[in-house]
Amino acid sequence: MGIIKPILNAIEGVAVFPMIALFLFFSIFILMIVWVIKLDKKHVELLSYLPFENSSDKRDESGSDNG
Amino acid sequence: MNLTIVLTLVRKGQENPENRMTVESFKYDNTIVRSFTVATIFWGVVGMLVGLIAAFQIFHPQLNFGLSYTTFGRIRPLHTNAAIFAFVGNGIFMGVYYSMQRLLKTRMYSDLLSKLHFWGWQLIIVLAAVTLLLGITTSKEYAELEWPIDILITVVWVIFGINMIGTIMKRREKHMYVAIWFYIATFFTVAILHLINSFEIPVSFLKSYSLFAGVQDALVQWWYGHNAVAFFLTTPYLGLMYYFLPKAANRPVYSYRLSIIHFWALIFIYIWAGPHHLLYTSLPDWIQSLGTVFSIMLIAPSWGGMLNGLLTLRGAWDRVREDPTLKFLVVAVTAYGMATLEGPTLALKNVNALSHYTDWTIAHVHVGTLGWNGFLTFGVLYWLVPKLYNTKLFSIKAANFHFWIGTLGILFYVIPLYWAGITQGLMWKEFTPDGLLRYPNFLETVMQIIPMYTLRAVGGLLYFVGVLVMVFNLKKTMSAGQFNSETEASAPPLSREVGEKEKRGYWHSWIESRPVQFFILTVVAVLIGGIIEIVPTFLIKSNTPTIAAVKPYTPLELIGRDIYIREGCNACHSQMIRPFRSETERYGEYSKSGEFVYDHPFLWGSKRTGPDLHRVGWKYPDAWHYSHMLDPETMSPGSIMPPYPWLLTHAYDLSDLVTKIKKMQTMGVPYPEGYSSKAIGDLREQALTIQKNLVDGGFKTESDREIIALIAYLQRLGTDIQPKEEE
Repeated sequence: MGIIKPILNAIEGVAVFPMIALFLFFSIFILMIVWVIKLDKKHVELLSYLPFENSSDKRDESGSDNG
Repeated sequence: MNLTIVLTLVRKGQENPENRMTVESFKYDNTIVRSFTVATIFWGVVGMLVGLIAAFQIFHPQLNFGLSYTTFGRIRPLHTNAAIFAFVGNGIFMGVYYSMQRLLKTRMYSDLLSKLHFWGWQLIIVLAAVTLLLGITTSKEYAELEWPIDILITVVWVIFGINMIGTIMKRREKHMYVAIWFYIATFFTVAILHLINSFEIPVSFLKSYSLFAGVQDALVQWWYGHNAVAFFLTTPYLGLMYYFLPKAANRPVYSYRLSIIHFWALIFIYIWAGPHHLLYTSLPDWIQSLGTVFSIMLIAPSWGGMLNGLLTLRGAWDRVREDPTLKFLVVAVTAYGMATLEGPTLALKNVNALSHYTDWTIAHVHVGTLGWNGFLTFGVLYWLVPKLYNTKLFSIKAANFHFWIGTLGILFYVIPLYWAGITQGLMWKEFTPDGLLRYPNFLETVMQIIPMYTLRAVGGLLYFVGVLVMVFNLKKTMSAGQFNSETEASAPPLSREVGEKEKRGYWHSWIESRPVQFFILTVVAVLIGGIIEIVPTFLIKSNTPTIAAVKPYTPLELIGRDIYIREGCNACHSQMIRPFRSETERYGEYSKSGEFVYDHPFLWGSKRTGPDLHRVGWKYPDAWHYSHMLDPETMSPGSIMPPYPWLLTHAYDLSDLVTKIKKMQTMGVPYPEGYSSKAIGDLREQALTIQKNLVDGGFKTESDREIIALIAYLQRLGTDIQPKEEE
């Protein structure tokens, strides 16, 4: 810490930096994970099938759409 | 389960009876996709060929054919720019223009903007190739292009952005699939990175100085450089992975929930990790630690994404055996996993102490570019070209051959370079029992790894042969099929009603159908990291302690420095001595941040193919440098540095000297007031002294030759804080 301290001390209000970072980081992550877990299963399934929804496109031999 | 049945079931619950009545017909634009496809293939061949030349030049420098234009220092940035912005860049746009129209159920917003984007991007590539070979460069890695081209890049990027956002706005599909988010994040972040890293003061039409100096410039550059990897080579390709892998495997992504976490975690964490490129440099320690911590955290989302990609193939691995597209995609995703585990490992200070400046870094980036970007592009091409031409792939066998020779090529490329990097890193650090460097001559450590350089070139050659086979295969496919310039499609218009699920408060279904709010959130996530990292370094002067002895460059040194930049010396020589005994013994006192305060731009370099030059000043007499630049082998037998005979015959250009001094003054370099008019006198005086030294050393030369200026610069390097010995 000997080398870091003088540099850090030179920054006004530096103590708050890591706190802001940690707070933002964790709050965003926790919020995100809560949201993701709360997502409706059917809705998630709908989203994951979005690349395949080209019903009017010609289908190829494998039975999927040709995108 | 049969995909069509699932699709019908999934669709059933959400169909709106009103919309079913008004189905709109429209056409997807395939012409723009084909344009970018052809460009991807063409520039891929060019970029890899240039890389191959560089790989051979590194152990056989005569392959520059005695021309300044084709010397390694200029070829290397051409290769990196061509691989990143020409090959991968066009690959991104190929995939984005194809998938975006289909995912959003609409044609691109404007055909004109699509065309402008395409031709603008190709123009940038051509200008880049010409200027880089001419030695017109800013020296900042992956941002070497000079200011007029920077402006053009901005214009073309904005055109792409308008076209993309316009397409999102006029979409018929309410929900934005995860691939689209990756495209949006790419657009915004690359725009921000490019703008901030391009702050430069023009001194002439094709020459500028970075507005930042020394430590600040280094921090901004690697914040950019790292995130160019993150947001140009990674996020858009993840978007492509999330679209093309399910398409090729004919099944949805393994976990859509995981893809949401992958996205937000990645864009939030990636932006912080840039300082890991500057470990043990003069950058303040707290920023270095920040870079390391966030690099380690990156493992989680990256591996989440990799597993998500691989698990998408669960139950379909039998198809991987038969389908070349899937083979390429599987290796690509695996390479993504390997590179994103290796990256954080290299970001650990103890590992970085060994790996940095060695070929380990080169091996690492090529796992990413050859494996991840290259193979994903090939996989997409093998899938897409037959689709666009309404036919089957000409030869599955040839594609399989490409796969195997390409995979072998990657292995032959990276394994020798890992070997070379670790060997050389250890040799640099080895001491005898008496406490002396075991290999005091840098060249000895280079000679040791030349066989590895040869093997690497073989690896590159194998990979390149595979690409040529692909070109042939795709060409045949194209001529066998019939190109569909448009694909007919139909979908109901977008309903503006609030869905029932949103009323119930599902957050993510709210955000993914609201692009504007989504843009803002993405930008905020990306900016937080940048702001916390960079702002303190800018505002606080004491982060770069000024050393009283450090003075601005003399006019002749400044001209010499510009020649150093033009020849790309920083591609092989660092100017940053790390605080290790092995380095201070070899090179001298370790580098202090205060020594670089007048360095617009910084020239720390990132690779030591030759030795560090930060303390090269006064180490050798002027005449040594003269002979060395004429033919490095006369002073260092076995050297792999190319000769620079043109520096001995060309006169240096002084036409911009006055402007250069004035611009330096506006950036805060403390030349005395009115110095620009006196500069030329001082320059001539210093040049005459060097000329005299050279004549004394037995070399007859004029005082206005480029070599004189370069010697002035080299002799100045790192001498500000050390007393001149002979005085």
